[in-house]
Amino acid sequence: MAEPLGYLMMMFHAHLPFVRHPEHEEFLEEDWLYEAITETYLPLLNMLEGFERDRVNACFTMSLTPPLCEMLADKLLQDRYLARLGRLQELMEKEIKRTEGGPFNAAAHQYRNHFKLCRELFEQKWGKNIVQGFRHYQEKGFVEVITCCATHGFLPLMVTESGVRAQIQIACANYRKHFGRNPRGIWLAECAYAPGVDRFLREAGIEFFFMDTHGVAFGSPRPRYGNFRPIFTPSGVAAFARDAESSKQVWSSEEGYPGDIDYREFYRDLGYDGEYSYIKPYLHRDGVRRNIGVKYHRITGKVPLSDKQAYTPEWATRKADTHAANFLFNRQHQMRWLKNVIGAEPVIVSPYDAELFGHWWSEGPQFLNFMMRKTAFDQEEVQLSTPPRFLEKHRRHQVVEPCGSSWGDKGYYEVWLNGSNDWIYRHLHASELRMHELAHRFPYPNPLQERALKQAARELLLAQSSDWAFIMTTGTMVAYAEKRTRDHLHRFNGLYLQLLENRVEEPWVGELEWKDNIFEEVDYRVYG
Amino acid sequence: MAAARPNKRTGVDFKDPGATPPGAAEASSAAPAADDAEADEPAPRAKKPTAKPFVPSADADSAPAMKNPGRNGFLTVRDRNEFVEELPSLKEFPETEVSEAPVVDAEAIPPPAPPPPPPEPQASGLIDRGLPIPDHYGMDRVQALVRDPYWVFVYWELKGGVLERLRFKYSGDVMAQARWVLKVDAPLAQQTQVVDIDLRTPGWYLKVVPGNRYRVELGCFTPDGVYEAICASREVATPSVGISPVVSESWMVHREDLENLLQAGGAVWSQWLGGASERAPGLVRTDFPRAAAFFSGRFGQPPGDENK
Repeated sequence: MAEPLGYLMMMFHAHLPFVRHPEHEEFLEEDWLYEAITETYLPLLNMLEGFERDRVNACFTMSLTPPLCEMLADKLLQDRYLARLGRLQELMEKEIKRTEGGPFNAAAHQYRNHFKLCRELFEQKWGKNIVQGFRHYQEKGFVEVITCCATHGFLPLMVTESGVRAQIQIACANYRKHFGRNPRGIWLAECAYAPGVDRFLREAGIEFFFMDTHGVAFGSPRPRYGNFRPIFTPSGVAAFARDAESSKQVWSSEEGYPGDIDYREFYRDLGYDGEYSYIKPYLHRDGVRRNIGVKYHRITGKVPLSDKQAYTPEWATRKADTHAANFLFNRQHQMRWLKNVIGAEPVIVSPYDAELFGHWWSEGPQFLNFMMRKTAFDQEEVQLSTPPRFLEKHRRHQVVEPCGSSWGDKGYYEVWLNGSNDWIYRHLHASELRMHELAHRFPYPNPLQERALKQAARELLLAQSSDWAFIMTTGTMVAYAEKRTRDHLHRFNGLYLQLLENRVEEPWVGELEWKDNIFEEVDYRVYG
Repeated sequence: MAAARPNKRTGVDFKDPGATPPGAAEASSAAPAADDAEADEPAPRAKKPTAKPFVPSADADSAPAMKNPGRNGFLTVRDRNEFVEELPSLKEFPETEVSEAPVVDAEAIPPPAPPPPPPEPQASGLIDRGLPIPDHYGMDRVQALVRDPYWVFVYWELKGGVLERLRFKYSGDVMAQARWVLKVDAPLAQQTQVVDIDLRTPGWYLKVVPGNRYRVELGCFTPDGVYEAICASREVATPSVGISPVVSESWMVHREDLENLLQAGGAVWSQWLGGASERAPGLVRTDFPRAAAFFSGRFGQPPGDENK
């Protein structure tokens, strides 16, 4: 095979906050997980299965965050997912009959077939634990699974070294539990970096991480290849920077592919369109109309929701194919130009939220499948790669101190630090200090104290999730984000006081272990 | 004129003795007000069949014998219909009871609207914002957080006893008149800025410049102008916002690659390379200008500390 002009690294960041609520029979926020499994994770696994079957020389990088892995491996959530999937399958059987002869019947058939495939993959192929599916394809070389901060904690806004270290070390331990080896790379939560973070990555044996474009481009000394080759931080960790152009082609709501008129409309859902008594059994028990994940309309154009036209799956598939070809064509041109400019094979890093593909952009998995197959079979200029593959082949890299940055709005930390959420940091920081204190005070705890210490670490970690600050900024579901922040801080501080006053209440600790059961293996001593 | 036959006109099965015949009610409301001598009286209504609860009656003579009583002696729905069929008064109802009803054009009266569906439930307006958390943590602290290249957020807490000590030192009245400030030190720029603050606010956003380092000290001036430093933040660095002016390059190469290169030149340089880098095993960092000279043979000294 001829040497390529350059390398394309597709990177999918799969993350959801820990939204497991055993104290309720059903819980609205758990739907985030169920929808993501059906619409994104299983379609990606299905794509990987096709790569293996057809021996496609394709690969990509994917972060599966520790909270997501923990939820995907949780029996309660697995069973709840299957029950929900069963209800949707039942609904689609009715829908096939109801829509017969009408414009929505083709889409109804597509949904029925997709839900059937989901059940096969989820239940039969992967025994309800789809993390094992990704592990399988990692071992086959199709995907490089990387980790993330333990609970998606925003590292630049932490104030203690132990707090940063714990987010990374606990993530690595959790990765080892699910994947049987140490992670080679990490997706820093929100792609957020601050000078000094690399030291903790190196300490944990991490070889590479990702940054936004300006994090490398504004680094010092000036990067010779801009953001089109990885750089090494002073601690010796490789940093790969995002390519803005390829990101925009997919992300942009105006210019991006997902806004095409033939693609499925997200905001028109059977949960709102269906006759109430008919759809009620598929809603939550409170009976409030919400999205149920069955959508029969296409984007159509800039028209009111009521004027959206029927979705035609064939048209959408054809458009995904066209867009995949266009994406590859643009990368070829980009690489030709870049190679002339920088005098070396460029590396184009295209990171996305995994849930964009399938959940928001219904045809996203088809687009990826087409694009990667075209890249593998139809040309030789662009080669798909992953950071480990690239670093094994290319062994000389410039040392640059990257610049503080994130992939949030305006490129820094404002999304997670502004008037709507800055109140949380005084509490989070005090808790960081208190956890550090606990780790020092209890080097040899008794069994109950050890349980309380481990639970205190879990509660702090859960409170630190960047998702809560993000939700407070976006203004949707704010009450839930505030509640989660306060609840975990309340529990942490309660455990802290009980430990200090030597009056740990076993029933309460047990209740918290049952509710917030993330990271069974957590070692609180990393806070020491 | 044909008597109104509410049961046929509306299509409502009028077998249920507990139901009001809709047509009868409409016929009543449609009656002319001064039709006859009974104008001042309520319009004659179709006689409503007695709504009898279908429960076993204690008076066996006044109630028809029930057939097939259901569980606990109650009739099932099917039983109810069969029961009604046997009621002679109901069978005769249209002819005998509605004949005096006012004349109404059956076609002109629209069928009754179906009862409105119950309102769909809406999301609960109750908001649970979580369990209580501490107001403070018993500390004296000030913390600075970088928001972006131009802004630093500062918050503080004075619950560790420092305020009490100052009140003891100066008196409560003096401290009540104290002027509270943030002293913002930028050591790289050798600048210090004093920003007046209101202690009652939860925090303060400071305007700063990119690519600099800052340390924030919380303090106060007494009315006599004496400055009391309370506590200071850690030093924070604001990100740069442009291409770095620093162009001297250093490179990270694989140790074995470098060794191979050196040995190919006939020299045994590896003794100076020592062990692999502690920070990045297998990788050796070289400062580019020196390394370039080194490879070209113009640099006679060992690489020194370039393994770091």
